Amino acid sequence: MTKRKILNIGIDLGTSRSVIACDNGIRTYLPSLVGYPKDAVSRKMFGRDLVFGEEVLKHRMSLNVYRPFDKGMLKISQDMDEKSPEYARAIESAKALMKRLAELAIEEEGGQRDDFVLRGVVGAPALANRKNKKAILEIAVSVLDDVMIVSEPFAVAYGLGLLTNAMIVDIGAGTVDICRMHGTMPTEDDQVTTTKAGDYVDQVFYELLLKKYTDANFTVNMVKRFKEENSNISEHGDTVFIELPVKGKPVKYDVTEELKIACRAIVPDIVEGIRKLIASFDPEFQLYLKENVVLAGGGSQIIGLKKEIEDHMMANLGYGKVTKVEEPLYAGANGALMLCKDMPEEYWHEVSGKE
Amino acid sequence: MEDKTRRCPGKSTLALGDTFEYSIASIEYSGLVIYSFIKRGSEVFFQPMVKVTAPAWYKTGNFAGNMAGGIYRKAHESLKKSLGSVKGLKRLFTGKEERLMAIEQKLTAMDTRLGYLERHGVMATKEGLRVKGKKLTDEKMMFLKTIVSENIDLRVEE
Repeated sequence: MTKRKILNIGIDLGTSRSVIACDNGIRTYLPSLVGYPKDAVSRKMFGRDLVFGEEVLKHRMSLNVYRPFDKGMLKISQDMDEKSPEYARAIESAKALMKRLAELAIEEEGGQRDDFVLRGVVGAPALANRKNKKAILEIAVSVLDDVMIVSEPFAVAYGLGLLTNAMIVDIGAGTVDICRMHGTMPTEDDQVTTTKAGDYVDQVFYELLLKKYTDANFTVNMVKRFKEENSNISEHGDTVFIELPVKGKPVKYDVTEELKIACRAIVPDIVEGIRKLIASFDPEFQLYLKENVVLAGGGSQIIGLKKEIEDHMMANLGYGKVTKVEEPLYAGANGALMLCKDMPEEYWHEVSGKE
Repeated sequence: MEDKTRRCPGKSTLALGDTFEYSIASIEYSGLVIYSFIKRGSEVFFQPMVKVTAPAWYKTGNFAGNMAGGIYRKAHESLKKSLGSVKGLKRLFTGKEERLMAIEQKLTAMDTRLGYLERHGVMATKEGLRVKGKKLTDEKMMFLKTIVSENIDLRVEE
């Protein structure tokens, strides 16, 4: 019998993007969207029942698009009936997405699924409830051979080697997770989650443009893409123009101020979360936390955000030193991969033996 | 008191002066005559010579030019045959340079990939790829053990 190859995968399931990092060198992401063909014609056009990734955005007119994660969690509430269609749809689409990610991990290897032992660590939002964590675990177990769930900001901290005297601020699309690290496993008291994140910025930006440019015709997706390419709250940034259709004809609009206002909208909650965690920390070590705030996640790429948070911390906390991770998009998945590889073999057996 | 009296030159002085001037004129004239003789004489002598020999020189020059041209053309053709045209030479070396660059790029990519694998504990040895034995700190082991307990609880929980 041929020995199966062990493939370690770090998985970050995000509201907007799901990212994987594997120890065979594969690192990639998919938009967290699943598309179901609307009718027989679109099913024939796609040649399959499910569509993923950029294809969903490109052909969304012929697909029913479903987003399995909301505010960083599986779209199931604590009191949702497990037999309801909404529950089934959420589980099914999350499973399909994770299966697609696993396929991407082994695609380049060239072998079949049975040639591999897929071992994964999946990052869950800091304050995901037990029901949500269980649901993610069940989905992951059906796709991977060995699975463990960890808190997402903890995975980022582990990947960076910042296991003590550090504050991780993971700015995603659905949530901003803030976690303080002090040499032990973070508990609920060590973590704060705010829901004013990337999606909130998109909404604020959209509403500001709607108010100012009443003739223009646009969607939230359009302004989201524009924001991702141009987000800047620095005072020295360039003037930013967006082209929006007005009665079918593209017209250029100056949106510099609106974009700044929208991007800045998430800062007060982030700083309040940081302040809360520092204030409730041992006073002897508060300074260490203040000088080791690390930004991660897609939202950390907003130009000028680092300085803005530092200025707020100076004003409200007397001091603040903020750094940004090198690879904001992959920080969570990289940390999860490192956990996966560091986990001793006997621990994997211990976990899988208890199923 | 200034001596305002002019001394008048004598007749003999005048005669001498005239004689001198006449002598100069004579010399000049004879020089011109001699020059004229030489010029005409050389014309008489050299012109026919040139007429006679120029065609020969012309033909010789042409002949030499043709010979040299012929030799050059022959050499050029044989060089072209053995080494190709100058453009072909250039293509030969440029093509080799491009192939070398492509190989260099592949080697750099392989180096980067090996570096990535080594960073994640995989060493390339003569026998093949080998996973480096990793020693985890007690702190990290504690974290990992906690993760395992939490995951077991999650599975066991109803």
